[in-house]
This record gives sequence, structure tokens and C-alpha cells, in this order.
Amino acid sequence: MDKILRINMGADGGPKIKIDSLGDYAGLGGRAMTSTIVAKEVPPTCHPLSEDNKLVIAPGMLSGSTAAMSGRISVGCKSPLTGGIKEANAGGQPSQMLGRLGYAAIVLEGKPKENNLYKIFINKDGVDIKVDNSLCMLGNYDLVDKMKAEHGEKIACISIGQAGEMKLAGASIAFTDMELRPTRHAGRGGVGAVMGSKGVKVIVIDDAGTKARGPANPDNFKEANKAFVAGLRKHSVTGEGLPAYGTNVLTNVISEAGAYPTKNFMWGSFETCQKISGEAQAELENARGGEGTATHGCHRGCIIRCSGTFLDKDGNYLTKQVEYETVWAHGGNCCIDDLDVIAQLDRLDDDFGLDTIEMGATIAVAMEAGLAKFGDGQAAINLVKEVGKGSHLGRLLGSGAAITGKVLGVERVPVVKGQAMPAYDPRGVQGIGVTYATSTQGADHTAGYAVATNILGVGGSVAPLKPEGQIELSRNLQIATAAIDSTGMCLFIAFAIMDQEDTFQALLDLINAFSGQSLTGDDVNALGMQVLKAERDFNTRAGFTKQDDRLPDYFKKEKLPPHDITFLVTDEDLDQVHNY
Amino acid sequence: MQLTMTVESDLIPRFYQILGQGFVIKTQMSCSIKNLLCVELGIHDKYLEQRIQTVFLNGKAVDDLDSAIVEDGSTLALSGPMPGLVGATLRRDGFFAAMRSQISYDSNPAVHHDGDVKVNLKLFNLVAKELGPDFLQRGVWLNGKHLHDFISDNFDNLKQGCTSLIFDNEPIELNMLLKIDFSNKIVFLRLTKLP
Repeated sequence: MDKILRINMGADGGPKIKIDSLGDYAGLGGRAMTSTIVAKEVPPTCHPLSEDNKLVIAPGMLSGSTAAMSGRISVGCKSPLTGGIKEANAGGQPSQMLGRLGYAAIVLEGKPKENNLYKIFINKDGVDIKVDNSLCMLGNYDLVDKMKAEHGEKIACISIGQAGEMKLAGASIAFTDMELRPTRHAGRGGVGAVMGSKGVKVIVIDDAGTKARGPANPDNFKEANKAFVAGLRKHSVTGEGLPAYGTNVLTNVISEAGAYPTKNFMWGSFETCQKISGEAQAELENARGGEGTATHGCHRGCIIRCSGTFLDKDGNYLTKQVEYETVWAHGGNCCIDDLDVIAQLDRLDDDFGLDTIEMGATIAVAMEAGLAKFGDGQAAINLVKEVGKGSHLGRLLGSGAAITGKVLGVERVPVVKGQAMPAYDPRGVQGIGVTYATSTQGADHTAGYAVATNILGVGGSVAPLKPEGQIELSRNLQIATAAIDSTGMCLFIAFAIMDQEDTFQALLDLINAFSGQSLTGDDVNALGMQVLKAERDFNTRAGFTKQDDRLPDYFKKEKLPPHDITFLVTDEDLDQVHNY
Repeated sequence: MQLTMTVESDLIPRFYQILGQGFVIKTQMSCSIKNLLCVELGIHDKYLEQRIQTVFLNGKAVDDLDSAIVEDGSTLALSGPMPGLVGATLRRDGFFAAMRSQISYDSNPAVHHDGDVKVNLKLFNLVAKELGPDFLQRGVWLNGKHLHDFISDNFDNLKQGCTSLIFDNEPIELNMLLKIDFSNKIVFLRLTKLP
């Protein structure tokens, strides 16, 4: 990957394509690439939908090679939802294909002068960009079908649905999976709205005639990849739990812990969570589609295979295996305990191009405001359909929980920096509340992930079961996560590298054998810190202060049943997280 | 009330759902979690150590299975290791335990109770898959409403895969079973697997 594709959508005479060398961005990938470009090139105070914002799409450092789990793709910009820097990432096929084509990043700049919609086509021969207004207001599924009809079945697509075209702050960017379905989304922060503001409906990628990226040291690479795969397969989370049940295996356990936000964060347990658990979901999927339907990868080279296929009652494809966050957002958070309803909502979100976490949180806020009753699945479906229609109500809902709560007069709105909280109540697991509050991204569960802080050497000496440990852990996790996001590896490798030192070493060996470098754990840590500092600096220049690193007040006042606890971490402690 | 069902083996995983809702086990006195699981229920030490990595006692995450005491009326939930940051946080004695200190089990001295001790046991995910068949074949005491709802929700599958039903020593048809109101009762369910 030795080039950056820049397209100035606002150039005189129409979009102008430029192929840059990597320059200062050499050696970067994934989140390190997107956040560094945004931090350096985007004016922090610009309007997120203006010509000054840039949308950066970057494969991981190892994408396009045969390294296992290397297919994550990162999207960066100034966020229309939070007003700060945004990095959202996704699985799917485009990352591998862009890597094989040699692109370290695609940067969409400027803004079209006319109200046209564009299609970008990239293959080994170059880049073509055309106006195609026939794509206007197509959902992601119909859009991809149209691309298949035009370009064949060996492509991958990066696209927006109606929500992105309407520039709604809850809009996602879709990435097609191995079956060429638009099921993988860079969901958070309204990145789809920024793509919509650039007038780009779809980027079609065709990697025919290219080869996998070759490692600097093929023998070492092969050996390290083998050890890395073996490590993932032997670990009980990556080798058994995730393949069998997917991420939704968390539902029963988080509810049992009393940390499962239920009824718009009023309760910590959902009485009928069993019905929407990962166990019930896997059973249903396998019963409808045959054994193995609940185990599927989202991109080639995936070993963990935490996804699956959800068929409807008649045996027809409806959506991919719905993930824990989505099952929670549209399920327990809205008191809906019907997997078929939740799967329909997931399909609608994917089709319209919406962040499922933001939409679920928004529907719950709307339910609290009285727009529908908690537990009414059909009403939830109707509300999401309003977004696809682009009605006034739909545009409001598609703008996210914070805006919806403000307009509808709801006090209990679970957001930080304007972004909805994911599926863990910060009163139950206070350490994740620290991360929600202080992340550069707004409330984000992946900002501080279970990466091997101890192995990476950033954990220090943390006393277990002491509240002050939460600050240090959150800081270290945010740094380590930024580093893993930059490699483009799936975050789920975290469990195996946390527990198995030899698997972590295999990952380092894999990166080093590929790049010809000699990275150590300290180097990876330094990369994570560098990314985080760049993001913090952008947010500071955009006007964020420590007052933005706070949870909504009600988390400090309202006790969460069943444990009847409030959020106890002090503001002074929160301010220490980024003290490095 | 007692119910014995003879079912095809591929139907057994359907029953894991009710094991996740909880079933009652009886022991002679209060004891540690480890004692209950390994001595009373015969779960191998190594299995407990390696596979049951997430444990809740009355909804609180447990780190030390020797000092946490199960009393009459306790709810004990067992799970394999969980994904995600919060999953890792909940793991017993894990590196991230500090992040959930507010919901960690505090090993206060328990009130020991001699005589019958009833414990509500929940099995989740891989633990239900691995230990569930044995519990179901030995028999479990279930909340009648949970069982009634389960039969109702899975009626078509049970009708197809359940070859014999014995309720309180009498054969019964599935549809007739649903007409009996046992929702306020505790029912002893035992599964017999077809060869």
C-alpha cells in the first residue's frame, strides 16, 4: 500500500482525482491513518458537513495480505454527531480489496457544487468517477444489487443509504461482506452523513488481476500467521464462545450482572432477556438454516467467525446474525423480547444506513417521550421506517438520541459528547463509565477494549478492586485500543492475546515479518498514545474541555436496580485519565 | 409435580434456555460455591477452573469461589468466559476486576444454615451446553411458569420430537399438558433421550 487516493469533490469542472505518495503518512494504517490525516488536515472548528471536512477511509496495516483477522477498515472525519474527531471501523471485504489494490487510504475532500450523486469505481487500471442520479434514495440492499448487475459479483461496495443522503447524524457507511451484502457498518458518529455531504453514494471496488500483498519475510510471516491462528483457535472465547453464539452471548450475563440497560437505562436487568440471548439466537438460526448457520465470518481470513445468518420464519434471508449491541439497543433497551422483530430492525438500519446503537437508544428515548409504548415491536419498526421515508419525524429520529431527547423534552438521554451509550450501564460497570466519559469518540464501548495492557506493558501496577484502578485501566485500555485499531486487526483478537503471551508474540511477529520492522510491545503502545494525543488535540482545538468528559447528571443521582447504585467516579478522577 | 419427557437428542439443546432462567437444586447446608459445585454436584475441579470463568452470586460477580458462601435462597449463575471489555471485566479474579468493583461479591461472613438449602442455579452458554444434558437427565426443579411458557413457545418442535410424556406417573398428550395450570408450582422435569 504505497499510495493515497484523493478525490476533490468540489473541484472546478467536477471531481478531480489525485494519487499521492504516502509522504508523512508512511507506515500508518487503520485508525492511525484516519485520525492523523483528520487531525492534520481538517480545520477543527469547521462544520462537519462543509467542504472543509474530509472523509478518510483506510485499510489496516496488514489488510490485503494473507494475515488472519486483518480485514478491518477504518473511517475518519469530524463527526456531525459529536462535533469532535471520529473514527469508526467495520469488517467486510473492502479493506482486503483496497489493500490488494495498493491504496493506504481514500480521502474524499471538498463538496460538489451541484446537487449530484456520484459513483466511484476503483480497479487495478485506475479510478473512475461518474454522476449517477439514478441511485438517489436507494437503500443499501437495492444499491448493491444494482452494482452487482452493472459490475458482476466479484466486487465489494462502500455505500450509504437514505440516511447518509439526508445527512442525518445517525447515518452509517456500509461495507459489503463475503456474500456481497451491505451488512458491515462503520456505524458510529454519523460518518455516513459526511459521505453524503461529499455527494458520494457508493465506491465500487474490483480487485481482479491483483495479488495478495507480499510480506518482507515470507517464511517468518507464514510461521507467525500459523501460530497466531492456532492461538485464536485454542482460546475458549475466540475458538468456542464467539463462533457458537456470536457477541450476543453477552445478553444473559450482562443482565445477570445488573448492568444491562433496560427501558432506556431505567433498570439493570431485563426479565425476559433469555428470549433474545445469544443462546436462543443461535438455536433459532441453526433450526431455520441448518447447523452452522450461526457461525460465519464477515471477511475472508476471519478465523473467529462470530457472525451468522438470520433467516425469517419462512426460511428467507433477512439479515446477518444480529450483534449484541443491536439486540440490546432495539431489544432490552426498548423492552422488546422478540428476535424476529429485532432482526427486522437490524435489516432496516442496514438498508437505510443507520447506526444500530444510536437508533435503538433514540427509539427508547422516543418511547419514554410517549411516541410509542415500551415493548411495542411494531411501533419501533414503524418509527425506523419513518427515517427511511425521510419524514419530519424520521429526520428527527435519524439525528440521534441527543437531538431527539432535546426536541421531545426527555431528561434521561444516555449520551456523552452527543453520542449514545452502548449496551453496558456505567453504574453497573463503573470502569466503562470512565471510558464513556473520557473517550475522544463520545460514549464508545470499543474505545477501551480488553487488550493485553499487562502484556503491552502499559498496565502498570493496578490494585484490583480499588476504585482508583478504574482510571488507570481506562487510560491504558484507550491507548492499547488505539494501537490495535491502527493495525486493522479485528478487536476480538484481544481475548487471545490477553490470556496467551505466545499469541501476542505471534501477532508482533506477524506485523514485523510483514513490514520488515522490529516492533516491540512498547512501540505498539507508543503508536496508540500518539493516535490518542492527536485525537485529543483535535477535540481541544474544536472547543472541547474537561466539562465534556462527563456522564449525564442522572447517572450520579438515579439508582440503578437491582443493585441500586449510582455512578461514583468523581470529576477530579475523570480528569486524570488523559494525564500522560 | 413431576414431568418426564422422552425426546430426540437434537431437541435437547432447546431446553438449555430454561436452564438459563434457573432451576432449583437442594443441598444439606450452606457451603462455598466451590464445595457446592465440586462436592455436591460432582463437577470436576479442572472443569470449574478452566471452563466456568464467570460466576455470579445473587447478581454479583464472584472472584473467590472458596470464600463465597451459597445460602438458602441464593441465586448462582455460571458462564464461560465472555467477549468484550465488560466480558473480561466480569471474569473471576481477572485483570480488569477493578472496573466493576461496585458489583463485585463481597465475602461477608455468611449465616450458616443447616438443613435443606435451596439454591437457584442458572447455566449459560457453553456451560449449559456441556453440563446441561446431565442435569436434565438427572432431573431439575423448575418454576412452573417458566416450564409452561417454554412448552408453549416450543410446542411444534416438542410435538414432533417428544415421543412420550409422563405427568405425575400418568401418560399425557402435549396439548393436554398445556391445559393444566402449574404456573404457581415447582415442577420436577426429567428428560430421557431417545437412543
